Amino acid sequence: MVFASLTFLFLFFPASLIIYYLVPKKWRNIPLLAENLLFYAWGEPRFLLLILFSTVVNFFFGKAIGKNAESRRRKCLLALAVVIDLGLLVFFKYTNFLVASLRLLPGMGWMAQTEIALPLGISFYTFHVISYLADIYRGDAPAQKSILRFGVYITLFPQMIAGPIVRYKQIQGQLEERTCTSAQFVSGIRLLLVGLAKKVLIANQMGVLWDAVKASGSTAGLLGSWAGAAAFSLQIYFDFSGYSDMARGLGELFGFELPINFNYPYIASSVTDYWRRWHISLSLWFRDYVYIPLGGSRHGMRVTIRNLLIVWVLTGFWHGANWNFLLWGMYYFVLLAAEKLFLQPVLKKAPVWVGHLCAVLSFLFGWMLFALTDFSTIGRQFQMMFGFGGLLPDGKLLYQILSYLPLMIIGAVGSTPLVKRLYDRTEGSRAHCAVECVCCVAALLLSTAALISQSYNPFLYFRF
Amino acid sequence: MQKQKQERVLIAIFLLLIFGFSVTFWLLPKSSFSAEEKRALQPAPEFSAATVGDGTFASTVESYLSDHFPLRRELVGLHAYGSLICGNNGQNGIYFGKDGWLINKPVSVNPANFQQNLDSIKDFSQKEHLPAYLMAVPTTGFIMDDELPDAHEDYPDAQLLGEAKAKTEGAVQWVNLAGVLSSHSADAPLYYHTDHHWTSRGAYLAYDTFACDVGFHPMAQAAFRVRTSGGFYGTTYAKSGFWFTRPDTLEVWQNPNLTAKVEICEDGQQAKTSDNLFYWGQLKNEDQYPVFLNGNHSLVRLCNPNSSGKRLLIVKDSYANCLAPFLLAHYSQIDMVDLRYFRKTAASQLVKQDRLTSILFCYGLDDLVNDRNLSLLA
Repeated sequence: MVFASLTFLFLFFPASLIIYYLVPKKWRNIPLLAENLLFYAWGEPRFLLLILFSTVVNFFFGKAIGKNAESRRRKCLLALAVVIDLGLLVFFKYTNFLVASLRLLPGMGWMAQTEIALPLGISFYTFHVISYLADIYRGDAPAQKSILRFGVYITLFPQMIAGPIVRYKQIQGQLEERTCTSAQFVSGIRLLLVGLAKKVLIANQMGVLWDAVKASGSTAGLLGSWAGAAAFSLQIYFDFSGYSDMARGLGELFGFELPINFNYPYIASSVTDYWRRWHISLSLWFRDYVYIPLGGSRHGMRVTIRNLLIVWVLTGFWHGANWNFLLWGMYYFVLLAAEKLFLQPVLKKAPVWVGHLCAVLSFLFGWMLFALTDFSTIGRQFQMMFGFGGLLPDGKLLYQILSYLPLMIIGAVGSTPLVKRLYDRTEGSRAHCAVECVCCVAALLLSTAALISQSYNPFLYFRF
Repeated sequence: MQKQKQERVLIAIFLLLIFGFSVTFWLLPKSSFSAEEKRALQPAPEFSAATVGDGTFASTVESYLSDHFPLRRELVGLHAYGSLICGNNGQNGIYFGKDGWLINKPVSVNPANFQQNLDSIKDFSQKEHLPAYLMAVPTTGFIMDDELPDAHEDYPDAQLLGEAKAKTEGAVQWVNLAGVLSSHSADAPLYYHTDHHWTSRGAYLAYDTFACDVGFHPMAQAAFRVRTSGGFYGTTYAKSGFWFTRPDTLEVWQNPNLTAKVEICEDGQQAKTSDNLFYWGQLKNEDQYPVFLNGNHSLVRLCNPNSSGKRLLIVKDSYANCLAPFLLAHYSQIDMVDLRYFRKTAASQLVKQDRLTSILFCYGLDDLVNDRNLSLLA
């Protein structure tokens, strides 16, 4: 199930909320687990068994690691569990890609192309599970004794499908006991509605423009290609951060506190800063479970750069099973390494806007590597962005860009903290409550209207 | 204390909205058909192992919710006007034009289909060895371009009409409407504000032009008795979501001296007869356009017992419904074939059986380019 749907907003969510709060506090994990499983199985029930399997297997591995005192056995158990978890991830996510790539090698054409479907959220819950096992192995948290609580952690519906990636030690206390004050509930409503509006009112619309630019192929010209890059950048930011906001909001409504995932990445002052603001929970995961165990940046520049390279190969492929994602990862590896090696001091001396400009340009180009899956299209897009391909798009695309321009400006302003600062200023004043209520109603009604309009499709040649 | 009160207000509003919509949805009676959208609505989802397993249950639930959502019409309007305010005119395929004009966005062209349609017209006319005419009605946006919003996509009508003329040359005589309609577009409305069709005046100009091409004398405008009906909301209104638009006034031009016999045949059904070209009962509906010959049907036979001789075949879409009543004064019989529904018999057989003597292809440009049924012409 997705959050931005009528089924979720007006069936699943109200029903879950009522059932959850009708049950006495100490039993609330039971309805929550049932709700999680229903949420997961909705639309694609066949992978329910897989997630149940993962949950049970890792629960017992966690217990075993927690009980064992001998360090070699602990290590073996951890390694075995991680191999099983990553093995499942690789099998479901990368087999098709590996086979397709192997088939291109000479003499390998005999292999049949596989078509394995990707289970919902596998990239995210695999990381949850690994964080659980690693935290127990390191002694950061005790193994979970109740399979019910562990199941709630792995399948928690607000975050299981697309994060934020909640590390076990952050959330273990809340699995046992959590409260929801009215201040938390209000904050949850706010986050949920802001996220919904971000996704439905901006991201989806920007997606329409980006699709139009993609469809126009080589006729987009300089203006069209930059508008496309801007549209996709806004789409992915509002889509993903909107989802994270909804996840955190829903978490709060059910008493959980989930970590913040985006901190206005588009106002970053350097690429390094950008990656501290974008998808924070993923960066932290890689830092804690890959980068630092490899030695981090404590063993000289050579090892640091090697570790950075490993992290970015993995980050690239984690985002998708295709060569362009590796290219995207390498692109950021090069930029981050360059900043580490020599650029940072230069940027520090330069005027502030230089760093911001570099960061903006880096993500505009970076997203094109991410969004376009084949290299010839990427090449064509870059050519147009560098001015080799005419100036203006054809009339139809130009018109579309103009139509979406106001929304793009709204999006650009919305990706800075400006609106939030203005909003916070009204805090405490009498107008604050009114503003908040109006915004709440407007966000919900406008988003619902947009969801309804997708299906509004009069059949005008009906003849009876 | 103040803060807590404010929090409670927000929580109350939020829960009221979520649960309000949810509960109202369950309580509202569900209809199976939407008169507004003219389509069957999603019936209640069927819960079974098969539908759950393949995911259709989930998608059906979403459509069911969407189709029967409380305040659906108002929410569609909210989205339409909201997008318009954000500069995005034409979200539902309809431009919010000047002076209350709701105009279809330009035709998106499928060149292969267009070519095939023109080939079908050409082939059929050559095979039948009868005088044939092709009349393509330009779109509202092309003729009424002054009423379009300032920023709009270009209308490719001129090029498409030119192509249609060139590619059927030799087999079919081209009836040039674009010039006539453009030059009269400022006098009185030739198209409706809220519908994609032409008005009776627009159809009259086409009749006048066609008469000159064929060589008979058209009747003067003054000879018709005009009956008007207010409150007409047509197709572009229904699609647009711009619910605050003013309705049109529909005009029916009646020839007082004409006695007509109408026979409406659906494939595989008993024919229904009438002696009136206009179905006044249709004026009670929001979309009144079916007042002309009761809308679209597989085959409509019009007979004029007071005329002698000529018998016309019209291969058509809905534009011809308003035109045919003008033409009937000059023919003893007109057979109107709508290929979207005319499936049981071949048109050539009809030509033979009813001894038809000439052919008129009358299509709105949109259908001439994109309709997929013209290839069934045989």
